[in-house]
Amino acid sequence: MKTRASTFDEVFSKFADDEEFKKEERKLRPYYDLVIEIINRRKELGLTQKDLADKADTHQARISKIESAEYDIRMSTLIQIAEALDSELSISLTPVGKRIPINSDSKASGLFKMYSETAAAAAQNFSESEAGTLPVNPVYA
Amino acid sequence: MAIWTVVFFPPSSNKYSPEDFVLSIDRKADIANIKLRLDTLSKLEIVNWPTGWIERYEKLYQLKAGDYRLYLGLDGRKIVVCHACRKVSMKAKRADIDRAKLNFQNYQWRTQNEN
Repeated sequence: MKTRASTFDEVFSKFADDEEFKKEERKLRPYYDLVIEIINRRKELGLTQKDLADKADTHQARISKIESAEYDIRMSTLIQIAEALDSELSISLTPVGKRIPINSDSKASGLFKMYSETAAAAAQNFSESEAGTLPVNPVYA
Repeated sequence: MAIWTVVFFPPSSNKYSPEDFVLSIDRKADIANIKLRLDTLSKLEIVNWPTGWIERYEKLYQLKAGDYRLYLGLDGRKIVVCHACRKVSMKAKRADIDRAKLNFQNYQWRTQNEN
C-alpha cells in the first residue's frame, strides 16, 4: 500500500472558496513574494545580508527582518534595496483572481527586473532595427 | 517555481494529523501565514531559508508562525510536515518533538518499504 500523505495543494485547496482566507492570503503574500525575490537576487550576486545592508545604507538586522517577511518595509527602503541589488522595482496591480504566481526561476517575472535584461533587450532591438544609422549607446553596447 | 514538494503526514483523520490541526485553527490569517511560509520554503534552497522563523531542531526543522509551531522533516526533495501544535511556552514541549520524530520515522519507514 502506498504511503498516504496529503499534498500541500490538497490541504490548502480546502480554502479555495473561502473568501476570508483568500483575503488574508492576499494581504500577506506580497511580503513573501518579496522574501523570495530579495533572497534569490542577493544570492545571485553573491552578497551577504551585511553586504546588502551596507550597499542599501541600512542595517543587517533590517535585511534579516525583511527576508523573514517580518518587517513592513517603506517604499523608499525598498527602492534602495532594489538599487543595491542592481535591479529595478516593478510594481503591478492585478485584479483579484488574476494573479500569476512568481516563478523564482524567471528573473523577469518577479518584483525586480534586472537592468541587464532590459539592456540586453534594448541592445537586441537596436541591432535589429537601427544598426548603422545611429551612434552606439555605450549603455547598451 | 517550487523546488521542494510539501506533504503532510500522517494524513487527515489520523489522530496525530498535522493537516487536521492546521485546518482547525480559528484565525484564517494564521492559516494563510502557515501556507505562505511553507510555500516560501518550497521555493528556496535550505541555505537560503529565512532564519527568522525556520530553524534546525533536533534533526528536524521547526517552523514558527505566530503562536503555532510546525515540525518538518526532509526526505529527498520532500518537505514532510510531520507535526503541528500551538506554542505553550518559550521552550518546545518534549512531547511535541517526540511526536514529530515518531511521525517522520513512520513516514520514512513506510516510503522505504513501499517497493
